[in-house]
Amino acid sequence: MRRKILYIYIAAASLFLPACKKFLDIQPLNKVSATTLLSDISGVKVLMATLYNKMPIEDFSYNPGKMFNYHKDAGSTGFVDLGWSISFYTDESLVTAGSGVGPVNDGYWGYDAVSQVNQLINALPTVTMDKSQRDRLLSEAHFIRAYIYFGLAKRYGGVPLIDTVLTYVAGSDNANLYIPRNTEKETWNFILNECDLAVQNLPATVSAVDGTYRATKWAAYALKSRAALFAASVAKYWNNAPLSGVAVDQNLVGGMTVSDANNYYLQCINASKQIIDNSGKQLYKPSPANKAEAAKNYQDIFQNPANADVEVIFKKGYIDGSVTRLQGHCTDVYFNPAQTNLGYIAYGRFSPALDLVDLYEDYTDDGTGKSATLVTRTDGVENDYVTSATVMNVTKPYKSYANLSDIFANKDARMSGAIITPGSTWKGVTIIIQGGLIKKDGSTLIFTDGSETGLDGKTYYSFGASSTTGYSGFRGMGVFDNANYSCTGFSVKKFLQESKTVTGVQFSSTTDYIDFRLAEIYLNYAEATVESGQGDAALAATYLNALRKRAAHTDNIPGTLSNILKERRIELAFEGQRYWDLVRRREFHTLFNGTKRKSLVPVLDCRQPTPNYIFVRSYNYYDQNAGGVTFNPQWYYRAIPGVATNNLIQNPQY
Amino acid sequence: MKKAKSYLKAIALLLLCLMVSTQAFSQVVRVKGTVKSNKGEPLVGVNVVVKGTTNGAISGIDGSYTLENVNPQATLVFSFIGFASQEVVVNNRPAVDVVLSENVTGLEEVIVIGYGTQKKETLTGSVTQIKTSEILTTKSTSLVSDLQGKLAGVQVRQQTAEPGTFNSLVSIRGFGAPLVVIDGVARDGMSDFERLNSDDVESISILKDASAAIYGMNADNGVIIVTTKKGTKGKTKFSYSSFFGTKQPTTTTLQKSVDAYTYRVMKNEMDRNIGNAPTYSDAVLAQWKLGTDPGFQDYNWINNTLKPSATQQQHNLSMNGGNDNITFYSSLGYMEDNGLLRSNIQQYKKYNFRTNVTAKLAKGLTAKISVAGKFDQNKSPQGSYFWLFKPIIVSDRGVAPFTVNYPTTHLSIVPSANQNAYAMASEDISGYDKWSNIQYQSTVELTYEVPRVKGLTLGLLGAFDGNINDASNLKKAYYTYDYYTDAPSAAMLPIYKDGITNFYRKDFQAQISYKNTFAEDHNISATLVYEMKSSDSKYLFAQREYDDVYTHDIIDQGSLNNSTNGGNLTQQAFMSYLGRFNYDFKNKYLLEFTFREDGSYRYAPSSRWAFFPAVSGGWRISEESFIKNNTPFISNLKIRGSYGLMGADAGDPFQYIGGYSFAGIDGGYVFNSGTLTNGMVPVGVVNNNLTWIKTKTADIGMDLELWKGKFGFTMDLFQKNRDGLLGTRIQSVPNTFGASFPQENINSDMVKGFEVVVSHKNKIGDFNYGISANMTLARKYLIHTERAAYSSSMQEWLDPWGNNRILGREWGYESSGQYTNLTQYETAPLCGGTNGNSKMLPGSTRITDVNGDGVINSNDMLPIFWAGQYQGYATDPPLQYGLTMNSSWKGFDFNILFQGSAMFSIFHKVDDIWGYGRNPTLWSKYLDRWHTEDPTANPHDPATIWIPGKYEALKTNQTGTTDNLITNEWRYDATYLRIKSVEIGYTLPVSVTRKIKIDNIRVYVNIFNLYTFCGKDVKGLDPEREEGSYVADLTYPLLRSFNFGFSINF
Repeated sequence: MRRKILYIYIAAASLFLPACKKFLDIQPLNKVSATTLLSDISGVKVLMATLYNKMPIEDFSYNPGKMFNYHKDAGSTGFVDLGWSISFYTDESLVTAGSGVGPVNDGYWGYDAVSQVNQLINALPTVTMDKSQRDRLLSEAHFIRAYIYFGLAKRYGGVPLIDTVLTYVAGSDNANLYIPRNTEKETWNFILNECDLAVQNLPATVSAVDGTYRATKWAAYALKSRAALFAASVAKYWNNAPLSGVAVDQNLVGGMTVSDANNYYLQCINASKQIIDNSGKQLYKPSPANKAEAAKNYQDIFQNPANADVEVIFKKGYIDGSVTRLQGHCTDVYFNPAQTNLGYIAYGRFSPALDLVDLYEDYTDDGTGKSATLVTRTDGVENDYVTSATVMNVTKPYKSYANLSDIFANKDARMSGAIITPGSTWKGVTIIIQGGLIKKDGSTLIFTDGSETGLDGKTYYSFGASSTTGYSGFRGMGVFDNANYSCTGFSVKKFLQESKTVTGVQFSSTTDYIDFRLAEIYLNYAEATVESGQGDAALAATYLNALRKRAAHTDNIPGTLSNILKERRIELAFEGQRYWDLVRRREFHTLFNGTKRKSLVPVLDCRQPTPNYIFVRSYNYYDQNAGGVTFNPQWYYRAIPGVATNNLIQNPQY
Repeated sequence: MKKAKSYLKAIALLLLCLMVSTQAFSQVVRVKGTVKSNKGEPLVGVNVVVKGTTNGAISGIDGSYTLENVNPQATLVFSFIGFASQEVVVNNRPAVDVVLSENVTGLEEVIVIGYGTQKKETLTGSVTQIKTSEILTTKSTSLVSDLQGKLAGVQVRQQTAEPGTFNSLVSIRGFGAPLVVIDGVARDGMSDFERLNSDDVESISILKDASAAIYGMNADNGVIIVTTKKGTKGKTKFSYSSFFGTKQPTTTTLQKSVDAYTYRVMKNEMDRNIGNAPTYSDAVLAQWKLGTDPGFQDYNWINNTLKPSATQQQHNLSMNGGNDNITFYSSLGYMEDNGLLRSNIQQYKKYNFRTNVTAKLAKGLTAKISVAGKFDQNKSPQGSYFWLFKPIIVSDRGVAPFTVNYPTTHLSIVPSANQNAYAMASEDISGYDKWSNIQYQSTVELTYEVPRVKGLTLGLLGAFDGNINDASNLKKAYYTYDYYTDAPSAAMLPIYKDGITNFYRKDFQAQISYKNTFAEDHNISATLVYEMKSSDSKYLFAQREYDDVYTHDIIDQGSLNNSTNGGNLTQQAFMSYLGRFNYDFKNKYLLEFTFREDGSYRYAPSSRWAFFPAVSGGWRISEESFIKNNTPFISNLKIRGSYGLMGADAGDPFQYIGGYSFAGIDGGYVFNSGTLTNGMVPVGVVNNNLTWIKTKTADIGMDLELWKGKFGFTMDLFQKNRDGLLGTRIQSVPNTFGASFPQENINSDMVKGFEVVVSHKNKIGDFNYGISANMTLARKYLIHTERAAYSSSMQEWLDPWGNNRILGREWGYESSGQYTNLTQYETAPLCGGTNGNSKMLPGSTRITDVNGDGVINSNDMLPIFWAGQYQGYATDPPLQYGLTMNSSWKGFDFNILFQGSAMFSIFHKVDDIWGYGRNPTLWSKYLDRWHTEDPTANPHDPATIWIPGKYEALKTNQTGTTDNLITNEWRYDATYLRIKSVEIGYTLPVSVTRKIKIDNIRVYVNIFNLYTFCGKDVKGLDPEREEGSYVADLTYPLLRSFNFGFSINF
């Protein structure tokens, strides 16, 4: 018995004792290891989702004055911030309530994402998986890292280049965490090198299994093309707006030479050429039968990028945020003109400037490719701008048009593909944009609700219709939250859905955002070639004219720098390029120096037996009130955030 | 209740039937005798048992007993509480008289310590033990309340008396919540401890110093060890005890606000006092004064929603008995605690059972099997009591629960909370908040006294506990209407939610003990234990709303729209090796060493294990011959000291493991058209360094007993230093790092203090009495708190959380009396900022311009108050004291307990519901205020005549005045001494009870929270209760209870 008891004790005790080692090794249930995630194709997607989410893609959810992914938190007060475009800070357009120019204040400082990519790159070699899969993921990580650093470099110049996982050592001074800024040149070189690493093993095509919105080899080349052109332009044009200070002395900003510029231009040329020659990408519907078809084709690219995959290199997708928490965007809700508003309290927020409208060619196609400035006067004077249409002089020789739309009759197809002009048809509705009328007695009723009985006995309204639902322009200017009526005479069309129904709540738009498409690559190639004398100038001209041909032009124009730059403004209008083009080419401060953007105010002249329209060239209401807008040269670089604690050298004049 | 009673009866009968009784002897005799004390007095109620049988008897009033059927060679065992037990062989005698000697010194008392027991005389640690009889002198619904004031060093603060809330602050020496060990296993903490059935408790030991180190992790706040009752052999005895009570708030001012008319008169006065036109016209006032027209009547929200008193009751039936081989203790209990709300929605009910069986399985092998369980449930208003109490207090007494036009159907919207307290308190209208808890605890313990090796014992213990908690909440929707116009408010949809937590714990211990004496004088004992423990907790939650119609509180019956659910699982595992070695020489020089090696799942393998050694020693000076021979009145004098390292298992677990966690939808990305892939993010910095909080505890103590326990004195000085408290390094994170710094063990603090116990016991004739007083002072210092550097020494001085200073001071304004007329403001410092003194009126507190700059502003604040709950760092008053007196005379017994605390303050927020002006109610105490003799006089005219009062001239807002600054008008010293409990009991004479075959009947009445001595201002608030959320004083009041109870043993 005793022995038995002892045995029981020993057995029981020894049963538990050796189990000890593992006993405390319980695994956390709120975490998953990198190994687990990376060994599963869905896991890889989940992991990549966060990194893609953190790429600074300047998409529909980007508010350049606030942050990226601005869909996350609507808030009750800042609702209009959800419909915002970087285009509002340029001569392309204004937000309907008025917007200035200046640095993007998005606070972007993507080092959390850098750290996460670095951790992934660190973890990848430790995980058992197919080599091809690992190489691909590694390249994808380099693509994301290049993208993040490009987002940093274009804002800040040279930044700390951190490409390893930093280790925090408790209790130490952690000097290893304080990485100083690299020079701007080192930063660009790093980005371009990352692109090269990305190109190596990214696939040429992506399947639905991987996710069709993931980056391909061509996305990496496109990123390189864009970044290299940026770097080259800064190197070449730095002296147009030289800065001074410690950051400049240490080449943290600027400090690049002509040969650097040429090197970068060449890299842009080569990367662009890779895409053009090898990606199989082509312009979407490159040979339209007529102007109307061209306009339709052009509009379709942005309405449904998935159908234009032949041209699109990289795009970002959305799902209906009114169903799944705020993951859509607000483009349709905020940007539809007032007459076709979707029922939300804010709409009609996107007002393209006359500056851009004037830029489009017409179809005289005489081989010069000159812009076709709208004809508002009979005396040929098109540089006479009133400070406000309210002070227009009715005796000036304004050209009279029977219809609102007549003045735009022969303009480039891409204008009607991108802009809703007065009198044009949108969603089956004739869009009325009218700033006022001239009464029979010659007095004016401008920007004020009112009516006049014409000589024909009919009643005419100052805004073109009797009720607020019947027109889309010029009402409530100066009243920010009610500024739902175009303040420039135009409304945006690009990116808007014309036939597909979108509900009138925030985040209900799911239209893809095109980040890279072949047209930009053509223009990058052309610009780099012409700027540097490298590459094939004839080919550059060919690409330029291919874009024009797609817009139903029939002539070929020379591939001069000015033609290329003008084509860039037209082809890529509202696509977020203009702001950074002005930055990289150092044109911002000369373009915007007390400058006022322009509006076109259609006015109905009731002095005539059958009232006709005249068009008043006017400074934009908001720019006029601001006394013009100015871009200060130090804004070419943003202030480095957190210099008090990260010990980084601040950018000039901050 | 009826149901519960019959249930109890049935079980009792069943258990009775199961009892095995063996009484068969061939040759038996009758044995008689008397039992007397060593002072020659007959002892009543002594337990006399024939050894090895259940045959027993109880001595009667004259000390006599009679036993039938006794084997002439049997041994009789005499036992009686407070006396040393004795065994006497009958040896053929017909009469056996016995003299029992009193255990006055209590030195023979066995004290339960960690993983074992020890004689009190050889204790080297600071350990206090309380026995069942002392616990039961206070009967309440919470075990913690039963202990309050009785134990030196155990600080208790009852936060609320709300039924079903067991959140009393218990702290040993101001350290924080202690570890609770029940029958050898650390179980569910304080809330569980508070709900233990006090009748089941045999003893409670409090380990206050390094003696707790044997529990290693989480023992650094001290340990409470509960031992439950075991059976004693002998005839099965039943004990039934019961009490019924009624309780009412301790604060009488709670019930008083002014009526609707008076409020409106006062509102006009408050308007005038800030220069506004009066709100109510004379005509309207006249209607209110009349109070008969519909819509102009007074409705006393407080009295109509709250009852003046609530009831409670408790019943306990226990059985106990056994023979040489098996003994058992078994109990069943029921408790009910009702709340003050008239709707009777507040109800707490508890059913508990426990069975402890000790069985000798073989020679030397003993098994202790313990099974205990508890089912308790609580119901309270939907939303917390706090948010119901607010509308009760602040509702306009001019608005009734139903509208003027529909006085039985339309619930009104009542300002200022714009809620309807009547509806909120009613389950039928607004729903409920319920929880129920099923708990079971089981322990099997085997001990084996290894034969042939004297003193060697092997032990195995396994425990399995479980807990199922179900918390449900039903929010019903109802319409409310404007009181006068009947305009309805929007109703929300009904929502039902239910969350279930399923918890279980496994604990295994293997133990080897050795105890022996060598060469007569060298006493050695050693214990080695291996312990492993793990627990799982799984939570599942579901919520649905009722889009169409509310049917039942069943998830399936709700709609799918907006339904949500959630769930998680947490697991823990711990492992320990520990040991204790004792050595003493002649019980005179005592030495103890303990160690514990603890491992926690929480930390990285490299920092997972911690070693906690402790050493203690004692010298019993009274055993030395120079004391023994010269001062024999010193029955015990011991000095002792201990020093040890303990730990606390803290910090977020698994920081050492990297990997990824869900980023949710916001971190997702669309990889395929129309599909969102959720994202995962890396967890940030992998932290391998996080480890235990390390605590060093030192204690020096002295125990003194004179004249065999007539006088006792114990004193301890203690200090506890904690290192490695969690903090995040302030060293700024460069924003290029991309993550924030992790938790580290970088902060430190210290608690220092002393405690004293003085006791006196005596007996004069039939009158026995004992007095014991205790006091503890414990103060806390922050040694290092990671913080940003101070910008100036002034800023450092102003920081109540500063390093190296005692916590517990509160900043406020010094004051002296009141301003009594307007002209005094001409020379007074500026009180109202840019308003100068233009808003000031007579009666305002005269605040001292400390820096003499002629302006009263925050620069004039001084650390003049003791802190309170408001600051968060002093939830327990640093100084606490208690005094117990118990006495008995013949069949009567009398106990009284005083308890109190000091160095603490209570804040009464002036602009909240206790104040005035903000809500359409007014406490009647504010009627004692400065006001103009002529109610319509201009208060800002110096010629106006004022009538003085305690409070300043009331204003609807205090802008431009100093009236809302923290002075002693609003922050009160909360020092108090409270008669915590008084109990008078009477035990019926045995001569009476024997006739009805009952051993003992005792009846008693007691009063809990009888009276409080404290400052006048805190009386209305109850100085013990804390102010609660928002310092709003909206927590449930503490209660004074009157109970009648009885106990029957048979």
